[in-house]
Amino acid sequence: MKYRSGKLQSYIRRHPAPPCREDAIRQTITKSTQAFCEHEAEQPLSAAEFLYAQGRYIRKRWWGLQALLLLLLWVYMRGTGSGPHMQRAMGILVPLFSLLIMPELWKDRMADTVEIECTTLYSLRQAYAARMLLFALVDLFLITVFLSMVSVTMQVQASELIIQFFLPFNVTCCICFRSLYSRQRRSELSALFLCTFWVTFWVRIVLADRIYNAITLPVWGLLLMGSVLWLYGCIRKVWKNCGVLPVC
Amino acid sequence: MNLDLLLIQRMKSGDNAAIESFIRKYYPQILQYCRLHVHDPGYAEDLTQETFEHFFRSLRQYQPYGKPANYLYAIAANSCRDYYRRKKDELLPETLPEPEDHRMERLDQWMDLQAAFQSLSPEFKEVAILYFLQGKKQREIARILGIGLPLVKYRIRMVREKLKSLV
Repeated sequence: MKYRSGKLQSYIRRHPAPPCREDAIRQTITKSTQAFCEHEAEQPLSAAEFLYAQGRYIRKRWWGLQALLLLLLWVYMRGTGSGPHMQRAMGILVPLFSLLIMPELWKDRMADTVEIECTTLYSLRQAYAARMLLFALVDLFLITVFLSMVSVTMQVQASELIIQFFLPFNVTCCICFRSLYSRQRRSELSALFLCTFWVTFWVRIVLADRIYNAITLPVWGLLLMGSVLWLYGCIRKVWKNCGVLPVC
Repeated sequence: MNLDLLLIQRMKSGDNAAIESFIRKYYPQILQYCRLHVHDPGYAEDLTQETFEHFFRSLRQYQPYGKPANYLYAIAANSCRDYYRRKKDELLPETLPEPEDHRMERLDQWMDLQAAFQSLSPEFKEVAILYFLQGKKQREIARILGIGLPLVKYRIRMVREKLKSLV
């Protein structure tokens, strides 16, 4: 028989859990919360952990759709070969490829959660930077795979590929990022309108041989460089302005 | 257990309501444990607060493999040991909490138990409090104190024999 059932048991019966003072409990709650917050502030997440945490909030379907789009483009290009069909397909699908990033970058503005994100431990600027970096990494991987597949399986000049792919891609990104940092409330609509206008304009240029051939390679190179610089400026502006983005 | 897991997840994301629920759930047990060690209610409250503060400081690293209560007991046990070390030279009230009912036979019982607990060495006393007064399982005690199960069984057997001979 256990000794617990003897005198100790009777002692325990008469000594239930001591009454807890509400003041002491409240003080413990306050001090514990303080300890937790101070420790969290002292030890923020590492860059990799922060990226991972942000990556968990991004819906992966967009990356899936981007990969699918590039696969479709490759299948179409293999079927038709280089020429106006390839130019037309790239002119339409590449801007769409870049447009697929935007819903994720826009969702906090569309859901009006910017004000909440502004009050969190990490700034909105850090969150945006992390999301853009994640998209850039994944897109770089997808585009590398796509261009490698095209260069291996098709006879397309690198310069043509760069012009056909990166120029529309960069310009679409510029339009989207420019709209993202604008102070308009529903800037996504203007971005959509501008992108549609840009795609139409671009397809018209690449399909009009007279204009397309008149533009020489150095001019294309300059245009590409210009679009890269513009894109850099737009991304910097988003990063700079995201702390003061309009929330209502 | 699952509720505790949920609570811990919420606490990790900074939910104040979850922190309060957690403290209210475990505060009485830990306070009782500290009181059984320290006996002075004021010191016991301080140690309990210290235990929770320590728990929340290391919450980010906490992995809920076992019961959170056991982790709290382990911290409280260390806090009590530190307390003993700090106050080594001071005169401590080494008595069990006095029963409110002072009828003669109960007072006798209390005196016997007090003498029995006083005679135990600190490591036996730790096990005795957790097993006899807090009703913890032997396996849990092993986990809380960071010692092997055979050692816990041995200490319980020794304490039981000692208490039998003394009380």
